[in-house]
Amino acid sequence: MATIKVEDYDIIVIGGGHAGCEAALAGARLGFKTALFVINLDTIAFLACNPSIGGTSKGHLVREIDALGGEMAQNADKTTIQSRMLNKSKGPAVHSLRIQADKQRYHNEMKKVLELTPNLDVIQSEVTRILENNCRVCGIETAMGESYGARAVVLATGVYMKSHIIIGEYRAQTGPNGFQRANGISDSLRELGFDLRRFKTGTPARVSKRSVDFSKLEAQYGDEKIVPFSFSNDRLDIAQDPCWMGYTNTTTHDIIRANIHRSPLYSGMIDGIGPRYCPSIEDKVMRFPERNAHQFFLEPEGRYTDEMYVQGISSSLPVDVQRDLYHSIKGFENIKIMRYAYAIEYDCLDPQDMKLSLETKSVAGLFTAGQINGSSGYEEAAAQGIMAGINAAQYIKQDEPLIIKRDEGYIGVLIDDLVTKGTNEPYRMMTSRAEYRLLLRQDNADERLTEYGRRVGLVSDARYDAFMYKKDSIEAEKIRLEATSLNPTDALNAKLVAMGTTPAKKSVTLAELIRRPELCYSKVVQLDPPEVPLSEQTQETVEIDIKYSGYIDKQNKQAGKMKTLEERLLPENIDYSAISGLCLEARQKLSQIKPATLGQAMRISGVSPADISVLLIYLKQKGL
Amino acid sequence: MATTIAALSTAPQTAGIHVIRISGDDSVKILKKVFRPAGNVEYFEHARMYYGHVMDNGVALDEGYAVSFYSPKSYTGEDVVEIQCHGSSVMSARILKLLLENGAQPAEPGEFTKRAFLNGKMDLIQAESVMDLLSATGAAASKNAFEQLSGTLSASINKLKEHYIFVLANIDVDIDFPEADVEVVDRDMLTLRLAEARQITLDMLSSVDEGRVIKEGIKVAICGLPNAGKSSLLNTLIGSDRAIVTEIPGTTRDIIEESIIVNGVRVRLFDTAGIRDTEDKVETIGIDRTRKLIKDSDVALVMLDGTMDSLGDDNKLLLDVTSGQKRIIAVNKSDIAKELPILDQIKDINGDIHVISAQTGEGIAQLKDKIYDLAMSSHGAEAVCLTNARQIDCLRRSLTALDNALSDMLIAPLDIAGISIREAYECILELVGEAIDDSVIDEIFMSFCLGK
Repeated sequence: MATIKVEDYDIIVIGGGHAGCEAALAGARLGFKTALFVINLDTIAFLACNPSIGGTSKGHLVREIDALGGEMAQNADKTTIQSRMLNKSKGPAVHSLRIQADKQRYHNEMKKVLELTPNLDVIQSEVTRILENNCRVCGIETAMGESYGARAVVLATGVYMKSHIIIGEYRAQTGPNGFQRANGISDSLRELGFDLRRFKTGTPARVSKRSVDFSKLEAQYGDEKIVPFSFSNDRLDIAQDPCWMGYTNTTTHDIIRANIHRSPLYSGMIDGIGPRYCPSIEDKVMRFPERNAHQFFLEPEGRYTDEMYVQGISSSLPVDVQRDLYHSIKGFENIKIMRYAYAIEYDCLDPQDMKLSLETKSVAGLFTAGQINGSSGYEEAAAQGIMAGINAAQYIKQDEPLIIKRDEGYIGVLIDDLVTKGTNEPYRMMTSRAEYRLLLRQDNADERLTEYGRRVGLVSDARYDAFMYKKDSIEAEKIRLEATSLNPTDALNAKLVAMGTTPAKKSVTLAELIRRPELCYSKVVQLDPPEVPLSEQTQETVEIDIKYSGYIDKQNKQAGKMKTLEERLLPENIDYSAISGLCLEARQKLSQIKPATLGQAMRISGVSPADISVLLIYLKQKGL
Repeated sequence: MATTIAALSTAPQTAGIHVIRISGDDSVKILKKVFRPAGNVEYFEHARMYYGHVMDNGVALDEGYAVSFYSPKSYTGEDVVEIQCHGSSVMSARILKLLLENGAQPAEPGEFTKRAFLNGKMDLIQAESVMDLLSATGAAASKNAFEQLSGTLSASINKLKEHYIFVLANIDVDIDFPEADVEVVDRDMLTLRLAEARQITLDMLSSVDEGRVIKEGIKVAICGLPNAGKSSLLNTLIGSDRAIVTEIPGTTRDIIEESIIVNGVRVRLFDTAGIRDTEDKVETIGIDRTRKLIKDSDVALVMLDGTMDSLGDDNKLLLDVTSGQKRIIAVNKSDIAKELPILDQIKDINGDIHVISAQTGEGIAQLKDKIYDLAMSSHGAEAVCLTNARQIDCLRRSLTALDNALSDMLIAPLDIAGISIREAYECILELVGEAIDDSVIDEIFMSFCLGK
């Protein structure tokens, strides 16, 4: 069918979810003529599962996106209805911000930002084909028979490609929440030579607030003092809504067991691979038969709706079973289900087909981000989205791609894990995946990544000045704390004892006092305050940097050891099969993954240290 | 800058000498710490051989030679030191251990050659063969690293891994799923598991590290009739070696212990009373003691008088008592008897037969080597050789990290404690040549009920 060319763009982004929004904004803000194609504009930045942003390591990602100049943190701050800093007692590296967002407003606000961004067109139309010329992307075609030219394309299709929704025996060819799915693009990708895979995820029911008996549930409130997600917001003063906590019981579990044969997961109707970290309630009951109760949270979907999200009870059981099992829960006796829980299956790609820049290895200028890469989660998607957007721009400029390293950000860990190791289930970020957890804190994300955002052009002057001011004040205060020593006078020791610590025998620096486990910055600094008091967030960074300097140095040293390997580039055109010293498995894996650096090569399973030595010698031999 | 590496350059078998090579910036600095040259030496000249002693905390470990080659005129192109020591794998392992304690790191297989190549000490044509060498040694090393460990050791390793994965999974699930309804084991319990891991590590270190042989020496029970020539043999063994002779006070007079050094290892010679079928109560006590000594020995050395025509009852009894031991049958007096008729009578019994003359010293050197080889074959000399210098280093680093972790568990937040625990775990994985994988994450999903 002949198509009519409508317009030429620099960057076309396919899909308006969390990855697509960041990619489109990054492209347009970097001055490129960008178009965002969405099947239905009402699905832009749709929180298809839980109405919340952040959590452990995911909160870190949001802060990193913010440091690079992305939108997710700002949008979360605009739409927060409850905020909590998790893990406060478990150590500085793992403090994690999590907010409840107003779902509708989250969508509205993001859509508004997109609409008001110069260089950006937002278009409702289903993309059915990627156009390429000589292994170089050159445009797209829509279902309505029109084509658009593009120098770079970002694929951010989420769970929409050939998706099925499954509830018990019911199966529908639709995207999440009944939205129209993307029918054509899977085949177009297959034509381009990509292997498609089938992943699965699920979401719980939404229930009517007025049907809940809250007296039988436990309320959970937000933090008294909110720490905003974005580094550019100092404070957030809003009223907060509670969430609620409850438990399933043995009756619930009996209902599930009695009907397990009707679960598509168990009857074999679903063959997509689901995430282990997000099991359905039937999975939990079957895998942990000794447990008599499973916890769940009831979260408001927003301020202007009666719908509530039941976190912890996702399911793909038939609707009648869902009704029965929900009704068996204390507080849910009269529950009205407004939307039933469902599982969703979708097409995605193998992330090992991507480079660290998120450009596909086989089609130049074609980038991928989000669930199409086998990840899961809004934050993981947005993180890839902004990187794909930045690197699409770098590609057009013919500049080096921006690659965040594993010791620089969770974004680096996320992308490196995906493209180097691949994934067999929807990949969720976890702090356990990062080897330098103490370096990758949520409080210092700006310190780690603002310079990158500035360099590529996403961080404004005002934002950068504020960052530099904060950075300088942190440095100055750390120097002052190390340099200021106090004499062990009776007056000092009286104060120290009053603070609950041992008196000083000889002169002691403020930094040394902060390192005592029982003391903290805010106490110690009273002994000799700085001229200008620091903001609370700055204080936190100063305290952690001083208190845990020994551990931070250690992790820096570990990362430093890897640096030579991480910086040693491997040319793309190496013929690994011709290097006789490599073991067979290494040859195959290296040829498939084509690592960008020796460091990346080392993380490929099947590549041994001896293989790395062989590569080093090969490079030297060839003068590469 | 590249680290300073050390390894045994010669084959790990027993030989006349062993050469240990050190390469890197700190080579000479480390040499100065462990080697005391004879005379006053301020500076080790390039390519000059120095005689002296390898010193461990002021105690001479071995005597030998050291030679330094300064960058770039060396094999690797870096500062290189070579120490020549006695050719026993136990001695070279001890010296290697000393070097590691003084700042060297165990060399990867083929690492000297690799450095030589990277520093331009070889031409490009040689590169292919270097790569082949590396891949061969690398494959062998990674394949064998774990196989080399004995059954008990690999059981210990598995137990260690289990402890670490358990502790890390509990910490990480607590951190990564703070809102999940999971029963996380408390800190005391985790500390207990770490303490158990510590004990296992200590036990492993004490068993693989020095080994019983190094600590206690090789025990040799010399037995035979009074006229077989035991005393002459002892004197010959001792005399030729300018040995350290110790008469242990307080032991009964019928068992005399003397020590000699063979290939850097102490060999303890026990001169036993004869064994006779007797009713005499006092003698029975002596004979029981002899039997026990034979049973406890690493090697039983049965002395036979070569001039005898037949074995006789007492010798038959002796051969019977020692039959369960690793034994050497020394047929003495080769200088007097030319025919040695009893050789024929013992040819079918198990044990190595050696013809010696305690009087002239004939066959004595071979006898010493035989004692050493036989004893070491049961003590896994390999367990303390080249690859094990790395394994021991891994264990040591693991222990240090574990000690830090244990003190962190008392005062530091969980994620901080996790840093050292992970380090201890990674050292163990390095020991067995396994890469960091997703075991902890797998354990989290397997053991805990998580998710929305």
